[in-house]
Amino acid sequence: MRVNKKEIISEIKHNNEAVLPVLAKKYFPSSRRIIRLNGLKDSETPLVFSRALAHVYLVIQQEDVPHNIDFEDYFFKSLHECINEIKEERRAKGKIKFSDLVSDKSKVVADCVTILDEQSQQLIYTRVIEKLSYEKIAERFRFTSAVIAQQEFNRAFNQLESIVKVRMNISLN
Amino acid sequence: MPLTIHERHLADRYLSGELSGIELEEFNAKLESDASFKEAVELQKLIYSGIAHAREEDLKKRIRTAISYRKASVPFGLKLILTFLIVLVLGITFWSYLGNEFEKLKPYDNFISLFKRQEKTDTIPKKKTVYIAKTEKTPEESTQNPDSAAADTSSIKVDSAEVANNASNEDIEVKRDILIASFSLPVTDKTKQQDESLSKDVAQKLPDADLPQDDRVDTFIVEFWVSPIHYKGYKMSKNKLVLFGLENMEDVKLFRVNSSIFMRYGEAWYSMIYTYDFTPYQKLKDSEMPAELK
Repeated sequence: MRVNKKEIISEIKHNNEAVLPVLAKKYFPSSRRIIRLNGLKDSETPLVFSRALAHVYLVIQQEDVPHNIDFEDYFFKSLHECINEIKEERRAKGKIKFSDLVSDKSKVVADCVTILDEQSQQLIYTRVIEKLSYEKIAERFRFTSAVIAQQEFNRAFNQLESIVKVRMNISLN
Repeated sequence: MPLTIHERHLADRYLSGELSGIELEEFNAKLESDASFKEAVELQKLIYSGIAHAREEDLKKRIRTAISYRKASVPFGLKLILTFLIVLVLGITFWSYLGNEFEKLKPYDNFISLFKRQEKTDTIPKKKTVYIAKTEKTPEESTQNPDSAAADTSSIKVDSAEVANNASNEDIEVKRDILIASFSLPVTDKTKQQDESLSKDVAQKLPDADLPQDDRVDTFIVEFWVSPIHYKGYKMSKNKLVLFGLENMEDVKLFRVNSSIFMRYGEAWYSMIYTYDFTPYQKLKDSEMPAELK
């Protein structure tokens, strides 16, 4: 799949995940050099790169990013920020933060999400992350109406909520 | 207590920051007054963050699968060390076997001899051996002067230029061919006797008739030589035979059958041909031997 630079933003906004492998293969070699030049190990380059690209992908989906911005400049800027964050995290290593406790619970919830079936996961992502309306969700998932889309989303979300409560030993009532 | 759909929608808007004004105030008031409502909203907030975390991890997994990262089998530091060692070994090898012109400048032969005691230079000088080939006059010249065996050895070709160049540094040992003996050896004619008496009488009685004369030689001057390179061969002109490599001179006998000359040395028979060049001995097989010699 070949993607024009100008089409990258629109493809991401339409949640075309086929563009991800293309972007990964294209930008990983140069990103690897940048990461190593900044003092990180070669074995850490996939971690840093995937973190930066995933962050850019989600930001483009969730926020109102204009279509005419240069994806390359935006990505490499995000990559440098990601490298600095990792360096900061390493400097602060050993200091327990409240955010660490919260992030642990988030990891538990994330594990619960992976238990759901693929369509339920995508439904939840589309509503919670992308914040699409039920009409657009119905259009993407080919539901007959927005009501059906809302029902399907509520079903998936309730299922997730139940799993999370069981995992965290929270009362279901 | 689980949230109703309306409450969940409100909580969703609250967590997204979309609530404002009176709606936000009422929502905050309810949060403070209703503990279970607050707990449910907190749970929803946690679930939302978990969903975001799951989405991010899912994307990272897909990206890492796409790049197919492979760790280098040889660490970078080890590569640097190996490169350094290779360059070092090549440098030492090049230094040790560099051209002869550098040997004059350095007091040692190679790098390794630096760690060895240098040997004294007053050793026995090397000798260079030069083989001098015997150059002889042509057979025609030999026939004119049959006693020129000694004279034939006078013209010796020497590579004087090469000897002069090396004489200053080395002692040259010259090895030459050695003449053991030289004497006349009769040729035994084994040709079947034919009645030639009439032809001989006519030739004698009519000398001006230009009749063909019988010029076969009955005696050969035979020279026995020894070569420093142990060459075995011969050269034969009309009345002179030069033999190399035959030790027992008394075992040599010459025979003629018709116009061919044969030599017997011990029990072996050899076919001899007239030649200006040195030729190896051609030993005869039993099937090749003429009947007259058997």
